[in-house]
Amino acid sequence: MKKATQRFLVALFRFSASVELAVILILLLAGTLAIATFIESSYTTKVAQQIVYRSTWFALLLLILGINVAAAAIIRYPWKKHHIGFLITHVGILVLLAGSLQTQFRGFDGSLSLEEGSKGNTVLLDEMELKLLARDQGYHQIKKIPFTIWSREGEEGTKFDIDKGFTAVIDRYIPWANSETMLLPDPHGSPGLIFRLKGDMFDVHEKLSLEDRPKDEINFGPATVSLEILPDKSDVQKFFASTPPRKDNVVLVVTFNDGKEEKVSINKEGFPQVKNLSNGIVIRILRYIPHAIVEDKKLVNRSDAPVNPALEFFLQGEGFKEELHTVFAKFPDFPTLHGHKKSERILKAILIDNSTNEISGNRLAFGVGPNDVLYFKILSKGAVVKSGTVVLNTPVETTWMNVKFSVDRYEPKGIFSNRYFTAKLTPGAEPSQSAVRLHFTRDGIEKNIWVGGGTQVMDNVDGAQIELTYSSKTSNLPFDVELHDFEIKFDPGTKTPASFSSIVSIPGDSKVVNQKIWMNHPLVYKGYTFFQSSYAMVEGEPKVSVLQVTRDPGRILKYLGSILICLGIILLFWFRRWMQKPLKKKNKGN
Amino acid sequence: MKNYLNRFLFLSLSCFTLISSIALSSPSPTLPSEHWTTDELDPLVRTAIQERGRIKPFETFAREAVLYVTGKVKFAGWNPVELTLAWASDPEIWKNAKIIQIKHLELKRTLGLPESEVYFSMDEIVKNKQFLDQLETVFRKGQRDEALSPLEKEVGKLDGQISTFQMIASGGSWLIVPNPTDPAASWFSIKDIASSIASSGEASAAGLNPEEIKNIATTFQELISAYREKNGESLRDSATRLASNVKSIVKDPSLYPSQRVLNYEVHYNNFRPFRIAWVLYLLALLILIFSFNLPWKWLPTTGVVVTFAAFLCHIYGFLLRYLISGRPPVTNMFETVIWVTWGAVLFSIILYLVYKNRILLTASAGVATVGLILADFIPAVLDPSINPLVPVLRSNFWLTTHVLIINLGYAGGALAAGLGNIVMGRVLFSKPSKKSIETLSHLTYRAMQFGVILLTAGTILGGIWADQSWGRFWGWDPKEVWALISILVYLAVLHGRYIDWLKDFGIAAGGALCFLAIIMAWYGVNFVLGVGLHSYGFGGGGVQYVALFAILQIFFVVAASLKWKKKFN
Repeated sequence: MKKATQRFLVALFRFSASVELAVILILLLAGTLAIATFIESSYTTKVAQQIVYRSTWFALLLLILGINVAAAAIIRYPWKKHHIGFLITHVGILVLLAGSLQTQFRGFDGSLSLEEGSKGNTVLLDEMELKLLARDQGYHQIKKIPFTIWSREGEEGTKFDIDKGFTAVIDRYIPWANSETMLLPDPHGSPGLIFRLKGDMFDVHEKLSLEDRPKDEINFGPATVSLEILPDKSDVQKFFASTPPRKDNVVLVVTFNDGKEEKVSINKEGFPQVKNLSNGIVIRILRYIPHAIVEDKKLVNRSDAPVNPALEFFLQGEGFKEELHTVFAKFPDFPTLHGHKKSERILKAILIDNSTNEISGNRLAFGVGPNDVLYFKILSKGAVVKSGTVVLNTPVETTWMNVKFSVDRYEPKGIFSNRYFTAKLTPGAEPSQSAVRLHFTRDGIEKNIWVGGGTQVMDNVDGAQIELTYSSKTSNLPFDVELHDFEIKFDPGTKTPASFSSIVSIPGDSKVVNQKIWMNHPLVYKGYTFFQSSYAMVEGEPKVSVLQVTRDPGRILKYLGSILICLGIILLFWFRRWMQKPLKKKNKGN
Repeated sequence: MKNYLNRFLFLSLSCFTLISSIALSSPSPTLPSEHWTTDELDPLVRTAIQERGRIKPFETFAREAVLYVTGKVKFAGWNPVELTLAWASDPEIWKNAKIIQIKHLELKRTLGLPESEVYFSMDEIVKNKQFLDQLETVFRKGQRDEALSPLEKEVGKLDGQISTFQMIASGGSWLIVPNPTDPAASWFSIKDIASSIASSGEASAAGLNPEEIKNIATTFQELISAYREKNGESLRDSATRLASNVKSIVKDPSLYPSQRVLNYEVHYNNFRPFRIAWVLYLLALLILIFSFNLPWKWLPTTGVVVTFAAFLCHIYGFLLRYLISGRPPVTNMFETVIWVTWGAVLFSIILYLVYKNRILLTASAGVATVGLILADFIPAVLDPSINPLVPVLRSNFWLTTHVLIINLGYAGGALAAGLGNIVMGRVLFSKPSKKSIETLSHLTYRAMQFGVILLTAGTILGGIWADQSWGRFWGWDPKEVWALISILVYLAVLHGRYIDWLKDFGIAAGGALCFLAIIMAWYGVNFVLGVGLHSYGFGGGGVQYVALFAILQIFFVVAASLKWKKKFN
């Protein structure tokens, strides 16, 4: 028996060290990889990574190859002189594989997005995690959700113990999920509805919910749809009364260093406008730009529609240098002085432009009256043209361009919940996110709650408020990074980018001040390497630079392995004769 | 066996029709005027122009524009520089000339144009209602970043052809007036100059003084009149003055593009070193093939000498391109084809010096002829123009090490494929001795060794560059993966040889087949897969021909193997 086992082990070792196995594995790997690239070509990089490169079975294939490489080296012991090239190459491959393992398990790879003029240390990683928060129970827990290409079912040790008799278990997992919004009655819920707008060119279902706000509103561009509560009869009357269309008005609100606030109303025409404020400061308004975009580093107007309103003005007065400010109505936090300098006089300037909300004056408004009756009114160019009580699933003509609306579902006390189902992968389309379902049990009452990747769900289990967040894992660097400036240079006379660069500092370290990060020139700091990876530029918004942050403990092994492999191959090919080779065929296997 | 042969014949026949259809020229249409200049326009030829992010001699601009509009560099025998000048001097007449090439049948059908014709006038296209409708769709889709259908792409291209013509005719693309202080900033066109005279506008604001503007405008007018009057003397004179006028705009003369580099490029355009190289390679190939069968003693030496001459010409062209672009010329498909074929010849020469076997040079001359002819004749797929680099490639150090080395790996593979195919051919069509097959296989094996070591080194260097530039050594990007697959298939052959799964014939067959993996890594990732981080090299076109080649190659090897099995085992 013992002898048989021994013989078997020896045979197994021989087999795992054989060149025959090597050839088969090499071809198997080559074939797998070839297929993987075609998967990537038709279904995005992410899917290829998920299905092949980061899968367990692929790691296993590499592991078997590694064993084969190692065994092939061991079986030839005691090594002779002519084995040097072969040994170095094989050791090189093993070192390289070890390096990748090191990277896989101990490396750090994420992306850091920074707005110009801001600092941060939160790095977005590739893994997904689920956060469960039950405030009343004082419970907060985070669990990692590993990606698998198969759906998972059943309870597998991912249990949240929230309170006595109150638990949650992740019982479903879908790798690529689509969702459908449902509105369910719930005694702890708030008013909500799902409506449908159907026109010649579109057909949309949308939801309105008063769960965390007194009024909900969706702007479709040509029309706005809203939902509000009308607590008593007089409110209902006001709701139906035709209100005169709101006048366009643009107001600049300036807060001075002493805390004083000044409101300046601005005429949309006739510039410059000079406003003398009570504290002796003069605001000279240069221009109002309804649709501001940045072109060639200049702010220009694209149209008269108030898409991205901006205002340029000079702040003048005694005792300080005149300042040129630019304020954007949509980005109140964006620094108003160029180059993120601090103003000598004002804390903040905010532009309020009401014309953005009522571009065309078309509105469909829903109101929840006393006794939970749902009313509607239709405004066209600011005037009420139709109103009444909503009847579910009955299309009503609006007066705008053949558009009909209907309410699919309405709950005076309801809660929105998403149902997830497996999505089919379609070539070329970005794959959907994964989704997980939690099965809650609280004193015998059971409830399932789905949460999709990158979303947050607020719900309750028998009245206990639950907050679920399923998103990319983040990690904080031990230091802040501050982005001063992001720059794109173009090829002479074209709009083709020639180079991207970020100017960053590490606050608190005088060694890293205004360091430039650009293509092929990363910043290395405390073991982390920062690379320029991408950027986002939206008209009128501050520029965002995305830096790739990595820490790769396997790097040395990879470099060493690489050198060994190259050296080994050279020795194998060209110095064999010099090292007096015995014939190639004779020494196989023994 | 017969079946394979039939199929092989069929495929080679279709290949032949394909090549001849490329080579056959379409008849030239009648044009409004005749070309008449000889070398009077030489000063204009050598004047710098800023286009597509690069400073180039006017001639290069004219060649590329004329090629784009008419499909030919020398349209109807016209010198491209003279043709652009003719368009600018008489836009109204040329508007009605049939000079815009449309080959796409579906496009002609959609626009209701006669399918038998190839050339159309700008006027008839811009008045075509269907064209305008289609163009609007293309424009709208472009704004929404939607993918275009093949027909819509052709509509977009036609629109590009029309606007290229119009911009030349109006002077709008004659960006020959440099920015006086910073030649890297946008230059001014002849049209800018004209409109700045009409209303002292933008050009004068950028630091051009009115005197200079007037000078340039007047000289350009003189150039046009001289051309219209067919006055050679006056044409040469005004072209010379125009060249010196624009040059004197730049305050610091050292900032104006070097005339020497411009001259290199004009020389490169006209000398066509790569065309001469392939003609010589082809000649060498024929001589070398005959040298194995004919008794004349001078044949072998001549074949070797001609191969060397072709090789020198190849190097010369490569150097010129390096001097023109100021970077190693290995940044697009065209340039890598040049480099890889060069590498294949280099390795064959090295091996020839060791083994003294002419078959090596024969194989590489064959590889180089095929590669360089492809590079010369299909500009739509292998774009010969010199363009600025994308940001990630702007590192001469890595460009030199990683790209040159990995492409030399391709070259080793190419030589191995050439030698392997000689073995396949000899097995199929002649009766080689076992000994000769053994010799050839050994040479294939040597070429493969060059390939494997350089592929490995190049891939690893690529990993180091990726580590520096993207922050990771290896990320399973398709280009990386196919580089690895190429290495793996060669490794499979080398290990298979070690355990006698593959013998002489098998090595040669492996050499021929493994190159298909390299083609996939080299061409396929960019032109077929089209995903991943190496997107700067992506392009389109030629997929069916490359696929045809791959199928032919596989059939060739299969047919040879069947015969080999029957005859020798």
